[in-house]
Amino acid sequence: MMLALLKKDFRNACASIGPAIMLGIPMLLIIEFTQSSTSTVSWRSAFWLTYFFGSTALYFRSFGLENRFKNFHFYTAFKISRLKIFLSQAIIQFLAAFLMGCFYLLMTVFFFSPTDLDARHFVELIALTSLTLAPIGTVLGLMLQLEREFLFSIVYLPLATPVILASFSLSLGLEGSWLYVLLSFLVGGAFLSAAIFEFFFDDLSA
Amino acid sequence: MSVQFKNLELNLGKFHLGPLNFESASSGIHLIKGANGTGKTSLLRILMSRTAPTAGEIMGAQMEVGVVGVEPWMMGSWTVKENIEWFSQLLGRKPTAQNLEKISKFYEQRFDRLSLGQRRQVELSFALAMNFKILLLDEPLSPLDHEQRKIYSDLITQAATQNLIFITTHQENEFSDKAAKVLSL
Repeated sequence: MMLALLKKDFRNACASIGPAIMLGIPMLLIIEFTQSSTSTVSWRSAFWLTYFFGSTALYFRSFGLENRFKNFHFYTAFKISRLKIFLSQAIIQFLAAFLMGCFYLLMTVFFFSPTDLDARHFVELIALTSLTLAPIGTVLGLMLQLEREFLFSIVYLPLATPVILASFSLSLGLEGSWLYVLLSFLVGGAFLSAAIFEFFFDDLSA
Repeated sequence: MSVQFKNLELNLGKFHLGPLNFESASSGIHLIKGANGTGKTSLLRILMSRTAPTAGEIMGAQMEVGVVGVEPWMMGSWTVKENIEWFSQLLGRKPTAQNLEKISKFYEQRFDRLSLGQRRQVELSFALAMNFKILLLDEPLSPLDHEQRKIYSDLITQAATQNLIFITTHQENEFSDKAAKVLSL
């Protein structure tokens, strides 16, 4: 069952990752071209801003397949575990966001030519950030399928903003408490998302 | 295994269903009869756990159920073959090949490109091939032509010898004289 869910979510993610990646390229391009010699934007700021918007576009399409064909009810009829549906989507969203982040890093190198990039550390940070945001993003995707966009600003932004700020600070080399912030959101966000997922999912399949 | 309703009620504002008391046989065709708007489909939704009853109890339906006709459930952008393979994997068992022969000509076509009657043939064939212990069929033959109605009514009747099948209808049909029990709404 889990393998089938992963396969379906992977297929859905393959269709979503292209448009999400394409969103980031013009963003990086615009940021790079709108800098002036006296007012420059840090390549880290450009990267994390682009990553935030790109990942949101990616999560937005969670459960896009079921929403498009209005067939959420088969999960209920076939008694498919909500936890497995959540886990499958979160795992695939993590992988997709991680790949997207790595692609954006390459684009950032291309546009900004940073001289102080510790690539390994940065890739680890992209992985940790993707792992933190994927469960929250999975619930976000579900909320958006319910046409409850207002929940985006009151639920997702307060959860995602500290994660991006912590990731930015960690990429500057400011370890200390930012790592604890990120880890707290990783654990807390995963538990909270898993706990509320069933409520939103059952609302959709009813 | 049978399904039992005890004082089952559903209240959705102006619409009220029940109270219903009913006990099914362990297998066979069970007709749910009633005019439009009497709650046939709502009762199927309760049986598939999509809607919680307002009052009363339902026993024996807490397992996976096959559903046809309430709403489409296959992925429209996938081919019929991809749908069959994926849903078989999701349910963890292989469909019986015999029931799928009739729809093999549709295998390479996208599900949403099929006509309504062809979609119904695919969903019915697959539901029968997966051998669900409980099968909920909402006006299952309505989009089918005369020839297909005969084929699928025979297949459903055959499946009912081992499985519990609920069929909704608002008129006399192929199953009227084959029903083990009838619930009139």
